[in-house]
Amino acid sequence: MFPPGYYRESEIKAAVEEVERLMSPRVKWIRYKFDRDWSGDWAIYFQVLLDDDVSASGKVHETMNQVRREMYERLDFGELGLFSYFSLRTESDQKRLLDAAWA
Amino acid sequence: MARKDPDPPKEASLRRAISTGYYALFHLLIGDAVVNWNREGDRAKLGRAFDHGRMKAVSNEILGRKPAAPDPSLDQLKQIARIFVDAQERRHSADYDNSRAWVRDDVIDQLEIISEAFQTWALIRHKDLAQDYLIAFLLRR
Repeated sequence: MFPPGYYRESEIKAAVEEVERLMSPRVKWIRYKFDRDWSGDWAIYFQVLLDDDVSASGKVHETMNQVRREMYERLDFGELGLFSYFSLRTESDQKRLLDAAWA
Repeated sequence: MARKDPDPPKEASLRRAISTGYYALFHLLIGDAVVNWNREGDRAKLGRAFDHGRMKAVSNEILGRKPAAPDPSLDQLKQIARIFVDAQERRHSADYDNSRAWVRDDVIDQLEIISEAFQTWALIRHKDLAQDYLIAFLLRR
């Protein structure tokens, strides 16, 4: 069974690419995957990789708030039938953890 | 808790911070709901009637509302509902998904979001739509 929003993935992809461009170089990339959340509802999980300078300058929360706001402005997740969840890493975090879920 | 360890922080500290953040918001909301119950001695018992899944469903209903005219209070409630759902998902992951690695910046971002929910809730908590949100937690569909 496909998740809701699956057939509108081109719309999601376009929004993600636009926000990536807008937020560069603070945001290195944004990726996403569909999965069910803790209660079995379909969700879209965004992974946001931040430049190390964002963390060093204490602007993680400000940057992430902007990422979330830009995504909410472009996509109506309720209409897509998806819950949306965001998580972040810095480049240094990813180098340290070598997390396959973020590779 | 999220800031106390030197780099790299302990996973357990970060997981605990996520869980604590969610429960702070959870108890803020149910505390404001049960305070409407006149018999003070029964409020703790009533608090145990709140269900995480039901609170998520109610929050989702709020997120789906589309008012005919701009409604700043609804926008504020939507912000809280979105944060609540997000915090709940993270709490579940922090408590039950051992495969997930946590990083300090992500956890601190989450705690700052929850702090914003507290501030926003203080602005609208006595408004009808906020009180309706709380009552809906206890209603069965």
